[in-house]
Amino acid sequence: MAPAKDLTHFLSEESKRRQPSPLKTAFKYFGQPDLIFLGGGLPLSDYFPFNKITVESPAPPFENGIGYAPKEGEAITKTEVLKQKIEDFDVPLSRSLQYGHTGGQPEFLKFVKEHTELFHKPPYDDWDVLATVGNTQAWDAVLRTFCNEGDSILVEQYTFPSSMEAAKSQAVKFIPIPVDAEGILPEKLDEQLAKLEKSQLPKLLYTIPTGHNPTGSSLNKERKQAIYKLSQKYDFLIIEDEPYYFLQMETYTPDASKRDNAPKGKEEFVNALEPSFLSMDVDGRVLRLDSLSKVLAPGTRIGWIVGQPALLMKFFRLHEVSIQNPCGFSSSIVTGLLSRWGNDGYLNWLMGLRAEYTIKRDVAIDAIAASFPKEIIEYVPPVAGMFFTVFIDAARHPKFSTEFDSDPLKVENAIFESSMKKGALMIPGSWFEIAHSFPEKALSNEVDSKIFFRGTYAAVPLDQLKLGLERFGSALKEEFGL
Amino acid sequence: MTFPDSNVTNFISKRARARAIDPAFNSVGFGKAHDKGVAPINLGYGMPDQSFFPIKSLQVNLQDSSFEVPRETANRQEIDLKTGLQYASPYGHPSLLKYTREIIERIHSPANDRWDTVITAGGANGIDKCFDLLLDEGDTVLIEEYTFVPILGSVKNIGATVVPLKFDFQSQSGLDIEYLAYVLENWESLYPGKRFPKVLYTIPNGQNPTGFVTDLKSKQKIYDICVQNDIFIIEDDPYGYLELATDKPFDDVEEYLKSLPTSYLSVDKHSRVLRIESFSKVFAPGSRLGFIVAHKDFIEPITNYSVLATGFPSGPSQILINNTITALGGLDGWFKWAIKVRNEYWSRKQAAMKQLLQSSCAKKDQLIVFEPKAGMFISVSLNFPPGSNCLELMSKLSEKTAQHGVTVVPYQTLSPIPDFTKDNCHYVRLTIASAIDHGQLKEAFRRFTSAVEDLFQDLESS
Repeated sequence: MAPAKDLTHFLSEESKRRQPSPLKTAFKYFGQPDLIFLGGGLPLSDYFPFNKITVESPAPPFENGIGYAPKEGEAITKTEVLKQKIEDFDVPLSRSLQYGHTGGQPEFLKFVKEHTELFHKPPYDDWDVLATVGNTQAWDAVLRTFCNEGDSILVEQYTFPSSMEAAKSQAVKFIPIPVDAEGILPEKLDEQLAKLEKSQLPKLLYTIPTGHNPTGSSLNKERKQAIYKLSQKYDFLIIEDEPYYFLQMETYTPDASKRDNAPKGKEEFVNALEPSFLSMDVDGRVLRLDSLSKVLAPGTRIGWIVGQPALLMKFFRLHEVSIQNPCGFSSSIVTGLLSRWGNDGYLNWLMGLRAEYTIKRDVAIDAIAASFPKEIIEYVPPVAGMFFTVFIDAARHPKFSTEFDSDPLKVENAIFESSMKKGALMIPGSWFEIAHSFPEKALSNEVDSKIFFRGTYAAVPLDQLKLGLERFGSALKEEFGL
Repeated sequence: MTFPDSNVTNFISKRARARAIDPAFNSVGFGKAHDKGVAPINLGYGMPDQSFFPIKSLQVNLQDSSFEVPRETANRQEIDLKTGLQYASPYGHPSLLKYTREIIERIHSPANDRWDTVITAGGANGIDKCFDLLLDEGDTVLIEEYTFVPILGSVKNIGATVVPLKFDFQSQSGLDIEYLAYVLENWESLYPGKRFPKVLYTIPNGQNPTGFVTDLKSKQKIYDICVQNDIFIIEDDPYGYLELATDKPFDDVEEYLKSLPTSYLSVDKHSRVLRIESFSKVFAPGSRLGFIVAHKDFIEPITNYSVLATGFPSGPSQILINNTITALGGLDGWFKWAIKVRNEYWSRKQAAMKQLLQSSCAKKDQLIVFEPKAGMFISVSLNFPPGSNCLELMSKLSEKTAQHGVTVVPYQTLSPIPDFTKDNCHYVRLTIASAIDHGQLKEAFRRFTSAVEDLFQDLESS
């Protein structure tokens, strides 16, 4: 394998200005034996009030499912973190609660590197990882590191609104890419790029390849390979925002009796996952944003970026003057827990997650099939992520051409209001459209009476999920007089 | 004196102003009850099912007590696991916000009632957010001639620049007020073509590196000058709780709170102050948790930046800090803990001062010690012979200290504009925090004074 290509020509003016802080360079002496450190401003760790943090979690292989809370006497994983190390893989509180380790605690990075090797095997030598406080922050840091005002970026036609707001605040221009039920269409992307002048070419592609938010689509290997080739041809970076990667599921089988819910082997599980852009990244032009929010818990606010070191160093410089590092409590607890499970036990957890989400998805799709009016809806059962999309033909609304002036958005709003009255919240699709947040960039789509609502099966227990969808279905029936 | 427009929103940077969060997406909010009919079942927002959070119990051992974080609770002073590990409000959890407001009310009695607080991911993040709020490309920030230089990164990222102010080293009272007035009055001739300053960034209490505390009278004067000149004050105050001027250990909370240095907030009649606080120095830096005190109309633009840049403050951190305060018996318990930390720093300061003052280089007037009034740094001014090259001698001193087995920070590395200070850089900063105990602390200071003596011997013999 070769080292990463030099891609520093993508750096923004801002990131070029970032230099090491002269004060922090003095830290290199820290820890040198018999040198007493009167230099830095590190407070006394003896006076951190926290002596010990103890966390109890289910233990691998999670035979009762990952949602099961172990009872007295049942197997648990007990994570104890003290001021000093007990286990070699622990991040002691005296360190995690102190200043320092902007790039992340070494024990955390070690676990994450092993994990990355296990699932992605990046095909170049010097790939590395850097801790973040989650993908929201990582994406903002990407924008600041690569984009100047007026630069263009490629984004999926529908995407996560907050990500676009972050880009908008950096005065970045969007090139929306058409998508179908399986995500980005590489040929269309090629056509679009071929039309652009060299100066208009985008710096990067922002994509949510797996379990897309909001559409629920997932890019397959062939499309990813085609897109990667385009990134080499037209020279742009690929930012894969992958919070839902491990929420890949079995395909939906409408007939419940034919569903295969038997536990799979570890190898089978790993092989069934869609390969990532990172796994085909021979150049070092992919930055993969990984998060534990959907896998462990959102509040942990800890994630990581995988990429080439020359680019990661610029993130490091930004983090030095902004977030510094992920919260110490999270670093200690998460690292302690993951390391006790080990990458093998973590694999069990991820398999458990797949099983749970498959059940949740099945319950949701079953409920839609049973209680939504079939005449006016379309949906594709998702194979990954937390979200499903229900497309509705607004033109079938009895008031479409009268009271609603043939405006699909008015139908969308009417459905939203009446479903909220019934007590079910799904998110109107227009909230996710690039054109909605950026009217000046409105897509020149042919008039389409199709609208959609995004739902999630992730948030509530199964009985609530079923009830909520029944409510939404009955709101639709009422609205459309069916 | 005429008061300027009290509409603070004029100060908001173009960048922060242009930033909008899609109102539709955020209007439904985090589990807020809908006003029409039954509370909706959430099939919309992508919050994972809390039963899949692997942290089923969390127990915390403090120095003298312990507590368990409940999985679910109705107690509003506690954050439970279900809430704390879930996606949460970018403003911070309500119970922690309540504590921060109470801290400010009790210690600072702000001079206006238009303020509120918002939780940040620590002091550095607070600074970055304040700069983002106020500064545009090309703007100018007034800054102390020696300061916590890593903050320059935030200013540079925006494309703004800094202009240094001077300290009154003679009286050791903090900023040189006459110089401040002089710079502003002669701006055009001193800095032709540079935009008139929009912001003063200051560490008013236990300043890093000087350890100076700007007293109330001086704060009032500086405040008035800033108001007259339409300059916003960012007061970064991580060290105030480590008050060192009172010559005894504290025991009583009220007495301790009364001793704490005042803030610009307490003279801020016209809403011209942003105050940055952190839990780092009293609790632990790794908590990456702090808060900003700002005019109410600033809270939303600050939070809009959070939503895009950091999301929301770490859940475990908010759980642990908030529930620890609650477990300690509320704010009084927390202040008691602060007293304990303060007393340790105070006794270290005493020991280090004694070591310095008893040294023969002090007796020979080779150095002058700045006794800190707050914080964790002692500074020393070296009496180099007149006409000597300051930078050269300071670099020799660094060699000497390394030889004697101690590291210190020469002031020049803390200078935002090194050219401005190069002829007046005969100071070093010594921290009383890092040594593992009093024995090592004394030894470190002894090594430092031997290094100084060694240097002066070389000077005399050459």
